Amino acid sequence: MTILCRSVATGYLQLIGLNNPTKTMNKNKQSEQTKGDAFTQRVPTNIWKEQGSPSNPYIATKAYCYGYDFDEVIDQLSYVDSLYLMLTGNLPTSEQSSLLELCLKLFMTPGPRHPATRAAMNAGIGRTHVTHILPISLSVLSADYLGSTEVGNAMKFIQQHKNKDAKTFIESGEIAIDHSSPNPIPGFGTIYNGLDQRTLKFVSKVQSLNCEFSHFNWSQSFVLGLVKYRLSWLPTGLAAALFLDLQLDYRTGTCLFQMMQSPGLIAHGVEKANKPLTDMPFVNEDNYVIQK
Amino acid sequence: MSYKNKDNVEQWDRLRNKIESKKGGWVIGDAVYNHGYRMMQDLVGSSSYFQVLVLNITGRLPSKNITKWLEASFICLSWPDPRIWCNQIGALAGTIQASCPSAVSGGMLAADSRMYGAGTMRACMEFIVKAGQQANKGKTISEIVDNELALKAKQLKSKPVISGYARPIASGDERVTAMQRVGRDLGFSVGHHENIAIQIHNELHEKYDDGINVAGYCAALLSDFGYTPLESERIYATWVNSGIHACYAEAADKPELTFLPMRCDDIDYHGPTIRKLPKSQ
Repeated sequence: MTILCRSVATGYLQLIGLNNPTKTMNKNKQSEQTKGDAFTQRVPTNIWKEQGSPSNPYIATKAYCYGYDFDEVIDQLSYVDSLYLMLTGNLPTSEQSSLLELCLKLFMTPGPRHPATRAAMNAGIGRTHVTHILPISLSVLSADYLGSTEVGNAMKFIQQHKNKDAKTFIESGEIAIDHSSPNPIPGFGTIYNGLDQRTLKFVSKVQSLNCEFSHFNWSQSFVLGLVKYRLSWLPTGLAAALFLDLQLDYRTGTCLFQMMQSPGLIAHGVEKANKPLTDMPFVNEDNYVIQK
Repeated sequence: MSYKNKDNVEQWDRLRNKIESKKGGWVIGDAVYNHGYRMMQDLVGSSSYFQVLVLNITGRLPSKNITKWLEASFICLSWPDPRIWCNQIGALAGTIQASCPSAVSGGMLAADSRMYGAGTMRACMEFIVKAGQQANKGKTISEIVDNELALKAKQLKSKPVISGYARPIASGDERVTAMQRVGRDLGFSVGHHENIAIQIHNELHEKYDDGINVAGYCAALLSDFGYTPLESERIYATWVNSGIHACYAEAADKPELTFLPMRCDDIDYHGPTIRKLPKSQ
């Protein structure tokens, strides 16, 4: 085994133009001093206001979401519209409402073969405290490929390039397509060497809304130009385009994708939570190969 | 592996329900193997936990001195102070009786940050490796610093800073002094990257009143130890965990909701004025 060691000769450092090695920093430079930042005493927010009880200011008697009485929101708005309000501060148009509802359905589950769902099932079968199933699987779903980080990156990519002609943009060579990666462009690529047929079906469902979704339309043109490279939509790319058309920023989109995928993660994790250990594969001795 | 070939599933079929590992694994009735070591016989009792941690990540068993230094660097980020963001997550979990694993894993995720903790290590490493290469090509410390600041100024809207050479809340970093002392006590000589890091610190301090922080210093040492940025990021993934334990434990041992309680008017609302939902809704 390699034992690492560190020693660099003074002569070498002189040779490369640096001063003699020294452990000495200029005197007193590491003595700590507060920067005296002016931190707020109360927590500022544009989202939520609570009215405290006169007898106990820690108990809220009324709450407002972006200025709307939350009791009225509960009584009068659909879940989808309330969600849009919470995420953006605005009430959605009917188009936005339909699109958000469709997204909630399209991205309800990554399916039982996705590593995040399998993490949920592993937690379930391993008798992990059931309250951890969702955080565990969402941590896995944070991924750069087929995960929420990819959604945010794809949102930034589409936002950055959406004003360019998609076909010319691809032919310009501005983006280098790395075939050693399944997602050479965030949100666009392959799954198991193939094009993701499920996401292509989802695309047609979005088209059936018959709405003008500019980011979605640009991304669809972009995908048509990618065909000759054998790349296409990934679910993350579709989510990214639609989130931009919902006027969400990339940070909200990253987090919303996790929330949207949660029902499937919960369902598959909980399904395994009280099953015998043998209800999930455990690779047998013959198939566990320790390589030299 | 290439993703270009049309629906070539051979590489996936070969690995269905099969694991191939260069790391090791459990051979029931024989041993648990770890990079050729039998863990119970060769490592337990003779190696430190940190040696095995690094072995697991890199495949190389480091010297005891390196891991003594590494363990000391973990102590540097193990403060029992719940004002620190990751630690406060531990305390918030404690004050409503979440489990300790929830608190600690949540706090560790919080330190996957661009500003502090394990999340900064990759960028610190990449900078010091680049600086080392530039120095080898004859660039002066001034040029290295100016180039990096110019690059950062293009990427950021806020004041450009070099990864590993800034710190929130306070200036100066006594953890660096402590880690230098540990290295000296262990008999380490000054390596190429440490030397450059110190000169960069001096340059930044003279010109901008910034200075090296513990992550920047650890990155330099890890580069000198021979670890890559990716390996270092993995080694430090759990860097802050023990401070979170402390803050969780204290809050969980006190009555519920007593950690930094907030009145309704401790929320400073700046949103739209109170309004009615439109009738059409």
